[in-house]
Formats: sequence, structure tokens, C-alpha cells
Amino acid sequence: MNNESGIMNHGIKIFILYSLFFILDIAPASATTLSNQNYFLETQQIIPGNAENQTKTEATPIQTTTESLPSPFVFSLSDMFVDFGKLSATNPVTRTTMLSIVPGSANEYSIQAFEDHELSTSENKIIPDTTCDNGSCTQDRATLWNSILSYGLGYRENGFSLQKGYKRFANASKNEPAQVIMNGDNQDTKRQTTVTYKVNISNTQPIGMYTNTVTYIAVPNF
Amino acid sequence: MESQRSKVKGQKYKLKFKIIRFQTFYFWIALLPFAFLILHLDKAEASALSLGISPSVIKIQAAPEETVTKTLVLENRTDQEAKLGIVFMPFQQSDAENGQPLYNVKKEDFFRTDPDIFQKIKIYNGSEIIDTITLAPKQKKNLTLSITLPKDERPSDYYFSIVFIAKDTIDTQNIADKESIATMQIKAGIATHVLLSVSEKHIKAEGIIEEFTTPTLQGKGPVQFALRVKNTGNTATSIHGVIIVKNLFGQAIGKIMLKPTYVLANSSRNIPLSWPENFILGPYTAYLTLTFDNGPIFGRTIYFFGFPMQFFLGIISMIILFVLIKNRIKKHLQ
Repeated sequence: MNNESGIMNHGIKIFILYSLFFILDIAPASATTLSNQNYFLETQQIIPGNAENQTKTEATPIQTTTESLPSPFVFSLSDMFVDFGKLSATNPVTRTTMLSIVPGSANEYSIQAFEDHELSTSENKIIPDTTCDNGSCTQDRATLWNSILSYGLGYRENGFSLQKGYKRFANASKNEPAQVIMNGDNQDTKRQTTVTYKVNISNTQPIGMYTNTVTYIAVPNF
Repeated sequence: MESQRSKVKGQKYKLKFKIIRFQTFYFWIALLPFAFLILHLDKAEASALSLGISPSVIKIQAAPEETVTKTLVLENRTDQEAKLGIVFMPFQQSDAENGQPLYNVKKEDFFRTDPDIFQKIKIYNGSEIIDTITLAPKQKKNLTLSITLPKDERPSDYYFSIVFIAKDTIDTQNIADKESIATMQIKAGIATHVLLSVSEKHIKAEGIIEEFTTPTLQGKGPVQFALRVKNTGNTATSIHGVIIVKNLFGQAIGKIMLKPTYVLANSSRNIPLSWPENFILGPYTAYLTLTFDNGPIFGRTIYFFGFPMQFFLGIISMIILFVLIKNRIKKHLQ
């Protein structure tokens, strides 16, 4: 009997705990905007405990905003910098970046990518873009890259049908147009993917500080 | 006596063990909300950059000697400041004709009619013309796209994206790890499209439905429709439409709305559509009604037949099975 009441007590405690959790899980106050045909109201973040800053509200008359704007198209990525670290010959290094899209009002969308140039040093020594194991991968065709004797820089996206298939980035310095690396539609409220970069160098690769820039542009379809 | 004692002892241990098990169980349940709090999904997905933009397409028809303004909202969804450059990038439709832009337009083609068109297009932050913008953490900003055309502006269409692109923030020379010999900077941007038609107002859109089909005999849904539309006019147009599906008795049992879609001047657009009905049986009629902006209204009707082969095979095999069992039982009874 005692044990039963003990268990009951536990149950009550947990119930209270859950209730507290839900009560205290108040979303943090944040900036909001309200608008109508004549006015645009922007309320700043509410900072508790500071009476002076509690509600800064500005009302700015605007000229023409009769249109109601649809839900936003959102693009996020996990990193703005990839450090491959110290490279050693025939020892491939991989790194990843996570990309995500919330389509919002865009029916369909794509993420397009290109590099400014190959990985290169200030003295113009380069780590070339990979051509994969059989020398046939390009910026729009993925092929197998498994051998440690295949060198260069390449990437793969989760959606590639070929396991261990890699492509190289479109190279803007060679006038190659940006390539679509992922596309989707608004069937999913959010879509996430991982891009894996791979670098492998040969014994003859000159020592140096190699760098380049990869650009991702999230593009809704029109 | 001894065995009774050991029995009681054993029961006591069992009870104790039960209590401990219950306590452990409830302890983990109690811990669960805190685990959720700590592993809050949004926070786990920490982003270096997260940008939102609205709307995703801006269609403008502007006449010479006119100024047109449109509002666009840019949003920084991270807890860090975002420094963005603003770039205009001309595009053309991809070969798939699915509304995907490709940024491989030749400059001489884009600027053929007016090499200075981009000088006439400005982005305003309040009253200030900008080509860069800094957004504070979680800040949402209303920007104004303004296009001012002179009196002698010649009619033409211009399709370009306004790309807000993160500026370089990391100096590779100052990376803490001096041992690094290969690094990659990542730039990211988000685009909104502008379909600008310079023409006299009230130009009527022109177009045709090139294709509206679905397989005549279908085993199961969803029913896929292939719609291909051609804009035969010289300005981009938006299209609106609906497909109504009726059954054998003429009852409307399905409605598929076309999402807002644009078709560039003198080009076609593929629009795949789907009726999400899984079980289809008998003859159906699909009526398409389509309008081109302020232009013509088209109607097209197609017929298809739903015959769920698997369903019928299942029923037939069940009947056969039933008859066989019945016969067997009859034989046994005889």
C-alpha cells in the first residue's frame, strides 16, 4: 500500500514537473513587425528588467505597401569557413557543410554553387580540381572517387545517386556557369543536405597555403 | 520455517527491486523535458548564416517615364550580424523549362536594348540608396526596389536576380591554426527574381496550351498531369488556373490549383501537376481552365480511366479461394 502511494507521489511530482516545464517554456521576446496600408510598426526586442528599453516602438509612415508579402524563402548554412588542416600525401581529408532551405512561398528552388578558382597559393601553385578515379568526373557529372592515388579537390552532396561519387566545383575563373547542387519543391517545409568536400594531394604537391572560395546561392524558381 | 523466511526475504527483495526499477524509470521520465530543453532542435542547428527573403519573384510592368517601387523583406535569422553585398545577376530559363534560372546569360544579349538598365534600378534602405547592407542579429528589414525609366526607354524584357551575398569575414592569415595549409572560404547568398517588362501599359498577354495530358488508363493514383504552356507574347506573364476532376456521375471530386507561375516572353513552361487520389475506379474527366495575366482564358478537357488491377486481382483470388474451401468442406461432409 505504502509502495503504491509512493509511486503515486512520484507520478504527481512528475506531473508537476512537466507542467512547470510547459509553463516556463516561454518563447523569448523578439522583434516583431506589424504593418497596414499606411503604417509600418517595428517593435524592438523586449529586455526584461530594464524599464527604459522595454518597448521601443517606432511608427514610420511608408508610401505604398498595399501588397501582403508571402512567407519568406530561407537559406541557412552551417559554416562559412572550411579548414582542411595540414595535408599529407595520399591521405584524403574530408570536411562537411550543412545546407538547409525553407521554401516558404517559393514553389520550387535550387542551390547553385561555384568556386572562384582552384585551391591555390599566392604564388599560383594549385591543387587541381579532381577528375575522380577514372578521370571522368566533371562539374555536372559525379563518378567514383575511392582511390588514394586520385588527387585534387571535389565534393559530394547527400542526394548524389552514386555512393562515393564526387564532382568538382564549377570554376568561375574558367567561365564555367554555377551548377545546381540541390533542388526541391515546397512539398517539404524544410530540406536539409550535407555537402562533403574532399582533398587529396600527391607526393609532388608543393608545400604552401592553399585557399579558394566556394559560393552557394539559394535560388527560388520563378 | 526456514524456507518460509527465505520466501519472505525473496519477496522483500523483489519488492525493493520493483521500487528501485519504478524510481529509475520515473527519474528518466523526469529528466526527459530537460533533455529536450538542452537539445532544443532549433538551437542544435546552429547556422553560420541564415537569410530569409520575401517575395521570391517580383513581376514589374513599367512604362517609359515611370517610377515603380516594390517592397522586399530581408531577414537575418542568426544571432550574429550579417554583412551582405547586393548584386544584380541576369538569368535565363534552364533547358528543362521548369522555371529554374541559369546565370549564363551573355552580357551583350542582356544589355542589347539598354546597356544602362542597371543604372536605373536602385535598392533603397529608407531614403538611402544601398549596394551593401548590414543586418543585426534576428533583424528583418524592409527594402524598396525602385525602377525609374526615362521617356525614351525602349520596350524590352529584363530578367535578373537580386542576390544578397555574404561578404568575406575571415582573414585566412589570422586563423588560429597556423599549421593549416588548405582552407576554403564559403560565401552564401539568397536570390529574389525580378521580371521587368518595359512596355506600354495594358499589353494583353498571349499564349497557348501546348500540352495537357495524362495516361488514359491508370491503375492507381496519384494522377499525374503534364501541362506545358507557351507565352507567345513579348513580355513575361503570370498564369493562373485550376483543374477540376469529375467522376462518372459528373460530380466534381478533385480540384487542383495551379501555384503562381510565370512564363518568360516567347518561351514555354512545363508545369507538372498531381491529383493526390490513390484509389481511382471508372471514367474521369479533367477540365483545365487557364488564364494568362490579363489575357485570354483557355479551357481544355481530357479523359482518363481508373482500373485498379491489383484490387480486382485480389478480389478474384479471394473468390476463388472461398469457392475452393467451400467445395472442400462439402466433400468432407459427404
